[in-house]
Amino acid sequence: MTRTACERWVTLSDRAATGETLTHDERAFQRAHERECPDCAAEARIWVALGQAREDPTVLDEAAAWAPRTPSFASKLRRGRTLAVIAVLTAATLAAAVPAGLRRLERPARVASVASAPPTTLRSASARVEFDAASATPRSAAQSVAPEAAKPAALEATTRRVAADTSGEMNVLSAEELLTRARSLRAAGRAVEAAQAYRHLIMTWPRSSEARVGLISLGELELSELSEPAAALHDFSAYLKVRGSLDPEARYGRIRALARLGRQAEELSEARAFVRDYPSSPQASDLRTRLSL
Amino acid sequence: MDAQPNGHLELAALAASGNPVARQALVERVGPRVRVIAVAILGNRAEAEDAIQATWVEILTSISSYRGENLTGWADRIAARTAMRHARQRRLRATRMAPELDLEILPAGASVASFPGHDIPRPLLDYLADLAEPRRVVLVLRHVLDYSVAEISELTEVPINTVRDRLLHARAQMRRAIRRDLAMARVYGGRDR
Repeated sequence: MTRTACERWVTLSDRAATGETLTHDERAFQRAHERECPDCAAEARIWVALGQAREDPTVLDEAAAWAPRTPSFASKLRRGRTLAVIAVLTAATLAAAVPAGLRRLERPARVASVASAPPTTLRSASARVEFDAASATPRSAAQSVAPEAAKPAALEATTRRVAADTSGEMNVLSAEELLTRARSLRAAGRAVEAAQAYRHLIMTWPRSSEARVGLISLGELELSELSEPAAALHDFSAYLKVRGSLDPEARYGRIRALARLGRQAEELSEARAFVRDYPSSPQASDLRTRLSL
Repeated sequence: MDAQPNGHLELAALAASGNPVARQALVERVGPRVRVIAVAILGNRAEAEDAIQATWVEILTSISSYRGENLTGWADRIAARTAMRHARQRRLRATRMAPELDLEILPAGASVASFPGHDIPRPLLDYLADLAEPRRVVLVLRHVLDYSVAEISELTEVPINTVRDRLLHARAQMRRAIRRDLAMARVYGGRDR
């Protein structure tokens, strides 16, 4: 790439931003240049990410919405903000891994037969291991309304499905790509598939900042589109284990999930706390009206 | 008109009559956008809270005059106007405190976050916060809300050429910051590893 090429890319990008229509050749040049130049590609992602913020406010808070996946940036991402995510997701996974581990002890042969299947790629292998540990995360536990005796069968089915997935397209996607995919599916109204993509993101890349954003988006989806308040409650709670800038959204989501679950005492208690902490928010106005606080 | 705007009209009428379910539905439908518009235009979550509250007052006050156009677009405009009003008030306060500063040129946000090597890569909100208010407003209206330059000119009551100029300057400033951060990340990332 040359300085001149970058300058041309910038000029074209600015022209498009001010409303000019670029020719086919100019757009082709831009796309080709973005494949060559990481700086211009990152800038292009910034403008796209700003547009995504219209539908998903979490984009504004996440460097991962635009940051390139170069080794240096990835290391910064890993070391920085995502430490908080690691804490919450590790805690959630550990909380679930204990009963999952106990079940595995009861059925060692079955799980081992899935987990020891030869990996097709390094990434798919790691995805399988991580998923195996997370396959009984609190969200699936929260979702489950089946009696205890039904859980081993459900676990086995889930493990089989995900083991099959590991050779599929989703497993060769990065966290960023999975998040983009989930958002696109959601924007297209394909709620069930979007939720699958979010869950896959959270379980495949549990240490990514995209997974943290995904918790809120997944919770909203489960609450509004999928009628899965228990799962939504879990996802909002997982987010709240670290203090983030989306705390109000997560807490408001929890209150609505508790309402759908008929847990009125907890709903009222959390609503009172919310109104106390965010008195001027629109959600507080709504809670005051709805719950006569 | 298609079914969607009619549904919006019904929702608006119910919300205007004080129906709590309709108000809740209204909050859920346009709430996230109201929030993102206020935060992006003001570049600061804490200051955005006042603008968000004012936007809701405005929306609920004027919902009875809603005539069935696109509901989110209607709410977007109220949110943008309210956030811009708050931004102007903040700028006036800042001007009174430091009249010698040219806020069109200087970054509005604190620049601690842009210190070389600090917290790279940065969230988008950080880059927005570093822009001067008039530039940030134009950039947000163009890239977040996808308004045309002409629409921004109408909304902000600023000549088209000025809008275009502010947009290009805002993009150039963000571009410089992004590229500087990318360069820093390459240096620091390489050294740390």
